[in-house]
Amino acid sequence: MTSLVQRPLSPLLRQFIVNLLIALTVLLTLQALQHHPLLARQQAVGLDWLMRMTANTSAPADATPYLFIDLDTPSWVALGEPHLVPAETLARLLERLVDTQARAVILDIDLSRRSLRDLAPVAAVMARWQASGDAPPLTLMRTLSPAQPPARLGVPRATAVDEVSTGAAWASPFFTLDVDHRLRRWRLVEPVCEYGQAALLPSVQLVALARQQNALASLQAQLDDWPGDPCDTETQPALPTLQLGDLTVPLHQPGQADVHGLGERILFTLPDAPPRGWAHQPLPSGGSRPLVIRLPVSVLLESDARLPDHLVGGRVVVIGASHVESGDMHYTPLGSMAGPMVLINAMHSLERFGQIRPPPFWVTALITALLVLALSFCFVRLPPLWANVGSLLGIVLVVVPLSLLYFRSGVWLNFLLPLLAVEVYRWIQRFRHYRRT
Amino acid sequence: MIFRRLICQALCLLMLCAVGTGAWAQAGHVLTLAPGDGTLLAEQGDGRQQPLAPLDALEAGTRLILTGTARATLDLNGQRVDLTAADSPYTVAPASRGDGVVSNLVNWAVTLIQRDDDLLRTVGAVSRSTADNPLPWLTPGVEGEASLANPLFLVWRGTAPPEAVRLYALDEHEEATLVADRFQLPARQLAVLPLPALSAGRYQLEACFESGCYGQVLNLSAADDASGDAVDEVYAGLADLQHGGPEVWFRAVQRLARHQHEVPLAAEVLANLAGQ
Repeated sequence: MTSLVQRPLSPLLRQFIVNLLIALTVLLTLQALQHHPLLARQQAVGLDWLMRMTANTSAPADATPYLFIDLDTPSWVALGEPHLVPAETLARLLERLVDTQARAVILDIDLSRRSLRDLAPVAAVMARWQASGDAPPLTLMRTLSPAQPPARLGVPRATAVDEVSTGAAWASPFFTLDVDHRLRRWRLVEPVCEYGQAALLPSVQLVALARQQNALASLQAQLDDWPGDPCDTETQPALPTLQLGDLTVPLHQPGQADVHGLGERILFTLPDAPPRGWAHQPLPSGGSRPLVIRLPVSVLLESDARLPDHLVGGRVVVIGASHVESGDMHYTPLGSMAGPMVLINAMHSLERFGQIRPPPFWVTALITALLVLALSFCFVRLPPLWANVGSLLGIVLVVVPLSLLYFRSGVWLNFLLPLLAVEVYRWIQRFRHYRRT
Repeated sequence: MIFRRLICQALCLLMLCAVGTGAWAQAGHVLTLAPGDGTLLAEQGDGRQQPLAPLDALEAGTRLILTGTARATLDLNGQRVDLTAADSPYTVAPASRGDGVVSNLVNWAVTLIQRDDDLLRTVGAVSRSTADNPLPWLTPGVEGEASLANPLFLVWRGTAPPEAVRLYALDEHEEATLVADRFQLPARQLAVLPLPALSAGRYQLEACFESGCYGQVLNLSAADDASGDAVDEVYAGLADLQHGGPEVWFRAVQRLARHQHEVPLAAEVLANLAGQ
């Protein structure tokens, strides 16, 4: 027994144990403080950076492609700079899509507070849309009157086309602004006040996901089952966890609960106007096509012919505005972005990545332990200069790819900080050693 | 300076390599066509010519011929190419297919070096105004800094002006006492709140819109921080907005607002913050 106690540990094992203790202490501290604003902000910054690095880089073959029909500034000027998008314009755009093979059509234009007389051309197309058995599924935007205390629930605004668009899905186009005024988070559902009771309005991206899973009716049924309290109640029941086909979607109170959590983060991957074009996705035929096509409205108004398949076929079409007075430009981790592009990013993010979830703690701890072992080996076996430079390079070369691997959870700090703590500790040890000698 | 130039050149070279090694794909369509007295023709491999119309698909390698006074604009994966008869025959180049991680990394590194050119792009929100959701440029939960020597400026997003802007003095028990207020504010998304004689300390600035009130605690100091050169002040404000955290944003907005009439850049950034 005595000989066991007195037997010295090997330098590598001793270093490893000390380093591991330091790293795990830092890791546990990070875990305990994961909702602290400072840490959440650093996580947001790190995730923003990783999004910039991986933006527009790849598009899997099975990802849904998009067509953005854009009322851009030249188109808006050509229309005479109207305050509201003219109903005739909307009707002509929709008319060109009725008989196409589009996967879905999303009209990102607020139709509320407009009379039926004003919206008559749109109502006519909607009626035709409903009558046509082959028309693509349609999603329309439901905006809300300002929320009132105490529950702060907005009231859905009716539109003049409600009665002729019963086949369409109504969705909320709202997102949450972070404290730095950047748009990073979606609101998968919007609690609203309907007939004096709290109810849930699905977001555009949730409707798109439900459609993809052939579960739109199921989504509506699950939302209708939520037992909302009367609107003047200060707190509402917890939001449900949805089951859409094979997918489980836990809901959080938008902008309140879990505000610093990852589940509400949008992984922006499609820039507003990339200088070298959007990423292509491979086709089964061997060719490829861009994931996003952006067409100005002015071009589409030059003809009334059905839009060709190479532009629309299989794509989700989003009709929206990006002109200077659209009121729909937002600052995102990928820069300034038109609202319809935010919707496209949100749909793409939910479809491709789902809700972000951090890896289990034991996975992070295991990877950290392996990295600490490698780091300890460097410090024991390499000359001091090489140990310092090599270990730093190793951290950059190993931790950054690991972060990219775990891009969906954005936990890069959980790997980086424990290793940096070990590194700093070793530098201090060396400095003390040099002073002594 | 030479070092910086060398780094720029090296990064540019690396970026070109990253672009050059990427594969290319065919994609695009005719965006617009003004035929005039001519036409736009696509020449097939066997020499046959086929007229093209707007929104027709384009294959990479196709030779385009414009005749007469025809003018066409092509959209090659978001990149516009304007053509006239003088450009004929024009061979459609394969459109680029996005970016790579390496080129994104290099672009990011270049923005670090060229940060002066990047200031406006990265500063603040550019959300356009909406009458429904006015939002002041305040950061609740973070204590802002400002000087008592100057009036306070408040910027907001949204066309509806605040119904009132108020300043409360906070005592050690966080009890608030109204010390300044302003009503009937102009609808220009920038309000000025003149300050009476006050002592340094903690205050609560509050902007109330129809939809609700927003506030931020401020540390108001007696020091006059407006004595510097206007351009230097504006650049310091920009740097704070770009690189500083929310705790320096209020001070940054004050710096910009104070010099907005002398330095056009400051007015431009304020307009940007207000979503104009």
